[in-house]
Amino acid sequence: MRQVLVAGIGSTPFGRHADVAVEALAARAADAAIRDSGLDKSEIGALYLGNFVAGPLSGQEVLAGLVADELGLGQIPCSKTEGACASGGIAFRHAYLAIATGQCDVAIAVGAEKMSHAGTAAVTSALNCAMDNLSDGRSGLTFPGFFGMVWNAHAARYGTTREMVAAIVQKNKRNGLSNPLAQMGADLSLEQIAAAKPICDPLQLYDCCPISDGAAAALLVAADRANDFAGPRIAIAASAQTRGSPRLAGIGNLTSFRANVDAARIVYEQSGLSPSDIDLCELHDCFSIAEVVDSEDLGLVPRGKGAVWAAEGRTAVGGEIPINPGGGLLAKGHPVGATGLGQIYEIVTQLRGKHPNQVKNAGVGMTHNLGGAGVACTVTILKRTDA
Amino acid sequence: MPEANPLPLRRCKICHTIEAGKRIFCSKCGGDVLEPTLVDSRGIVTSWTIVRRPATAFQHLGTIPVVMVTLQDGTIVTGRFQGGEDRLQVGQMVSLSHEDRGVPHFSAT
Repeated sequence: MRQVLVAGIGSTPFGRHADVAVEALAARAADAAIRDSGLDKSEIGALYLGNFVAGPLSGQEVLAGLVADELGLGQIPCSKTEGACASGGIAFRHAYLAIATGQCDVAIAVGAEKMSHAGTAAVTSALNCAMDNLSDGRSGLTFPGFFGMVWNAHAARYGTTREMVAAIVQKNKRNGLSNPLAQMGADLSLEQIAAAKPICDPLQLYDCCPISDGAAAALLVAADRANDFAGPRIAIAASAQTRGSPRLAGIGNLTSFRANVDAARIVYEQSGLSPSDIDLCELHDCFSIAEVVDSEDLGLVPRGKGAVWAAEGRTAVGGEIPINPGGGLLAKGHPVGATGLGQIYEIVTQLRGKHPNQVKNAGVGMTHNLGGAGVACTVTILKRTDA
Repeated sequence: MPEANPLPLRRCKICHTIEAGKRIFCSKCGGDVLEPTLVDSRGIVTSWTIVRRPATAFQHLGTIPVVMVTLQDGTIVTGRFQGGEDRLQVGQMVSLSHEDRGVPHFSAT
């Protein structure tokens, strides 16, 4: 496998983009990534686009070809990837594999979603396409409900409390305040978080990511082309994609996701790194409790201590392992298909030393993108080549 | 303890694994014949939630108490809970109250 570098990144702000089509959001982010790299777009040999609900919510598919046409790319292979909320991470991995296996020297990964024009119930229904609707879905379970179940299981096993989990909401919302791309940063008191309206017990409003529009992109290049662009050298040290059970009956233990654990093991093996080598992580906090489970599954925090560490400030910027310094999905937003690429954008910006919530001496960063009830997961380790 | 209502599930013809979902193949041996069977519906609540913002198709239900139940043989079933919310807790013993359009409704025992 050839080494692959991230040469350029681009992103729209995450939030509400009224009257902007999903393909236009994607094209803008991709164009920004190409410009950021300084490479000529004619060199791009493949395009992968992560998206989940453009069909049901916008009545638009073939987004990959539409975006390539908008950008004026050649007659190259253009593919949409779908793995629910992990769609963007999967697009990034496919672009990485295209170069690593020698199919092309330059590839672009884009993620995009447009959701805010639809009502909450319609969005909930569209997102429920990621559930096994012949089993769990028939009960009326939603994804906020699924993660409410995760919370109750974690609380029963480890004693995790409302106050502990609220510390994650406080941290990520505050991180979002200084991220210009974030949709919903806020300075919230524990009282405000605890008084918010209930969504799915015990999840309350601020425990849930907002409904978002947005797009993000990354331009990847073979390492032997490193002299052809001017930016800093950010290498993909490891990339994993795994599968977990699509339904509760196969998950069993709701305090951990098999896909997370397997992906973490693979990236540590691939890179020769260990959790203690990771300087920061952008992980999939679609709900506050998800950060608890994900941080434990990735080995960044001891089992059962995900919320405790947040409450103790150990996952804050300046803490032992900063988690979601960009605000995470809770504050930055969750335009579903864009999220995985948005996380790449955040980590690359950190490794370039240019982030508004800069983690000091950031040299190795991790991204984690989870889809459905843990049915799809991607984990990536990015590394500054001089780190 | 009174006998519980039996829960209709499916059983692999080859290895006898009980399947709770609408699988095509047995999750254990891959067998392609899953036959209807009735199992003891007594189990414990492994986790739960109350859905207060349902998807469009379920809005007529208002709030929906959903439970993940582990039956005595280890099979995991997703269903709804019937009864007071104060009895919704991990470890609560339940059994089948009734089925409605293929969705099992459990109540505390």
